[in-house]
Amino acid sequence: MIHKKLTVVLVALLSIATAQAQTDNDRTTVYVDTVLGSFSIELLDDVSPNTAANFLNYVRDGDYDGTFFHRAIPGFILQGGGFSMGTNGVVSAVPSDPPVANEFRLPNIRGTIAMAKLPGDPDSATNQWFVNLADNSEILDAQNGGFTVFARVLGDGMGVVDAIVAQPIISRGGAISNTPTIDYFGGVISRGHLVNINSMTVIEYTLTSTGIASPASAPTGTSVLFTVTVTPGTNPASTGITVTADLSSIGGSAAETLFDDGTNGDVVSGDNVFSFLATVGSGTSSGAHSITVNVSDSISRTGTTSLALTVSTRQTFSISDRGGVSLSSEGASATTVSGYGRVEADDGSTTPEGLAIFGFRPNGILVSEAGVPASATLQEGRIFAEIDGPVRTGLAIANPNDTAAMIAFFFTNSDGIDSGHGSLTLGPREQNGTISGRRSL
Amino acid sequence: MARFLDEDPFNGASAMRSTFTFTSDLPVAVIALRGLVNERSEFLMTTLPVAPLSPPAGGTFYFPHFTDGGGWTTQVILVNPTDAPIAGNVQFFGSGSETEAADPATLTLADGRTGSEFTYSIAPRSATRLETANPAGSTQQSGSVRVVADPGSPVPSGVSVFAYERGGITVSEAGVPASTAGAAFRVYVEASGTPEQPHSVRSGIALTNTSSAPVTVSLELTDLDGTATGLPESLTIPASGHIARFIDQFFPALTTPFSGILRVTSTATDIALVGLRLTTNERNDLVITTTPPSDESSATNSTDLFFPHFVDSGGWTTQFILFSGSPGQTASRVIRFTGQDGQPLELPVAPTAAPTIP
Repeated sequence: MIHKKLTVVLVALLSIATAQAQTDNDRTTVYVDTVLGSFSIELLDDVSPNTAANFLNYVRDGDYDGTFFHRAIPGFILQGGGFSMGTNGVVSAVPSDPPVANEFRLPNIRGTIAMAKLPGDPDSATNQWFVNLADNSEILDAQNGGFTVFARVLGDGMGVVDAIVAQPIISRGGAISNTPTIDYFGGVISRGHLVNINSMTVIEYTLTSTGIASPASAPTGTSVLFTVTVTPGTNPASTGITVTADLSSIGGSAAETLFDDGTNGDVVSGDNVFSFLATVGSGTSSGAHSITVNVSDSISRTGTTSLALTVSTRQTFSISDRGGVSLSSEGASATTVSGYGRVEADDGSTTPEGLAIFGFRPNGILVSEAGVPASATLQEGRIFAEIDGPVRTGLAIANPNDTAAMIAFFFTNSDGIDSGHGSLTLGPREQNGTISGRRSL
Repeated sequence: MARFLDEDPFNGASAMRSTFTFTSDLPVAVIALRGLVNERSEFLMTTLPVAPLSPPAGGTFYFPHFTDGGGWTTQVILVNPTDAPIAGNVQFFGSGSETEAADPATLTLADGRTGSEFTYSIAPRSATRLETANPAGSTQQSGSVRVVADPGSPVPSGVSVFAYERGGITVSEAGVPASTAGAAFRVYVEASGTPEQPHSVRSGIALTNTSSAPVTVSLELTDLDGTATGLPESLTIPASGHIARFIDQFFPALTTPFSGILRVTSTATDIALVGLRLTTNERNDLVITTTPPSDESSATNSTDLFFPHFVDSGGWTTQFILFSGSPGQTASRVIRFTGQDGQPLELPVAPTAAPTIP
């Protein structure tokens, strides 16, 4: 068993930001649950990486679970990480890993956490650590190579620390020296009299979430329901989850709030499914948009996801009774383009008649035109199929749905005998292939 | 998907004359196209209808136009939409005259049969085809076709494809969809340029009287704003007769270029028609396509409408036409274009301009 004593130093060299500052999400956060309350500490992985990693190893191994704060000096430090007491009253030392080289960088001010060391040995830190209760920089920063600050207490966690230090402090020798106690009125000290650390847990700072836009493809001027499903964090459980989306690319706010209160398109309040019903701005560019979503909770856990929305532009037209409209493509693109068109009601009016006429003009000479009636969708059909020398039959299928369509097919010969069956999957909104020449359709 | 049926993923036989049946778990938009590579290695297209698998009620439908001889041939393609054999007959009628009813038209088919009425029997889910022979030296005759199902037999679906050959080269094909008789129709029409000169466009209609008595038909022409041109016309079609004319023949005073809607009405439910559009191309060949009419009695709804395929550039253009198809119908709509990959597509379109002579 190694029992390390805290060496006192006299000079503080540096100053750092307040320990109450918000966490940096690139750093590791550890949740400390004690019998007198809980607090979170942020490891300064980027400042003292080896020391932080050393501490983290103990945390991940569970070595600090069940340990107690064995030393408290009001106005100076609260120390732990060294011992635990079993239910039989036997004190055990935390097994130590190899010592870590000193990485003194930051001053020992209130709220910071540093490693304890053996006197006269700057590179002797192993498992014991302490919380600075005051600005101890003048004392600790110059002594024994300086005590390596590797973490800081977050938020109002120092309130819990101060409450621990405020407990009656006793000394019985050995590990029980300047030790805070709970309801101890003399006699044998048992585990229940000590300020035990129930557990130390690494907080996973990434809040996971998924988002969808419904519909996934929408024209300008129409409404889209954005929905983000958040998986709350644990240890501690997330509270105060907020979700914002950057809708600036579709004409909305750069930090639009999504709701989980039954409003703004949200269906069920409090189910961690956040929603916002947005209108795609008229000036929105067509094509795929990836909308960034930021998620956070009350202890600054964050996460990101994205919402995929495809925006289409629209050709609008009005038809009077006995009238019509004729629109022609310009045929001026650098490459051949093909696809399908959808005629939608703009104001609930009835569906007009429609007709498309393909014109094929290779080398500047019109050689063929074909009039194709516009039609509603269908789920089954039959066509005359001929492949015979110069004659070939082709089929164009467009799936306007937001999910893939499964299509089964078969051929039947002139005797009524079926043959050549198969199936295909046509992805959401897809229409593959092209009429691009005499040999391909 | 837009593929030939002998290509992946359909992988049909390299030589076949059959039917293709599909079912989808989701509603899809579908068209079929018949491609012919002519003797000049040019690609000619014809639309083929997609038959619903629930056959329509009624025992007779019509192809309002056929023509045979003088370089013309007509194919009548019938598809059995059912799982049982179907049978009936195909009747060819001539045009008749102002004073005489149309007589049955006697034709010679490519299979050697001669007559004006031909029986058909189609195996379940299958199809059959009748093709006129266009005998050498024959004179052109035109008229209409009736497809009459046998009593108790469901009516097939069908299309008639007429083709024009000049100098041994097929220069044009057009598919005429099957029609049922009605009392009022609307069809999109155009006229521009000097008839039969390069770049001219002439729309017309082929109209047949399905009854055994003469019928008086009224024609009303409106422009795309719905404004009447003030050029009403009426004509009489003899019993079982047929008329095929360009709109500038119906309306000699029509100012061109013109685009609009032709409304055709009858006092009884006894006419069937199809719109025809002839473009004279840069070689002075006729390029023919059909423009399906709307039957004013068809029920209207607010469902979305699809153009299952368009193609643009690389020699291709697509003209999109939408029009009021029933009395009092107005519409305010939007068109969205989607590429093959399912992404929205910016397809520049503009009001159709009359062809210009370079």
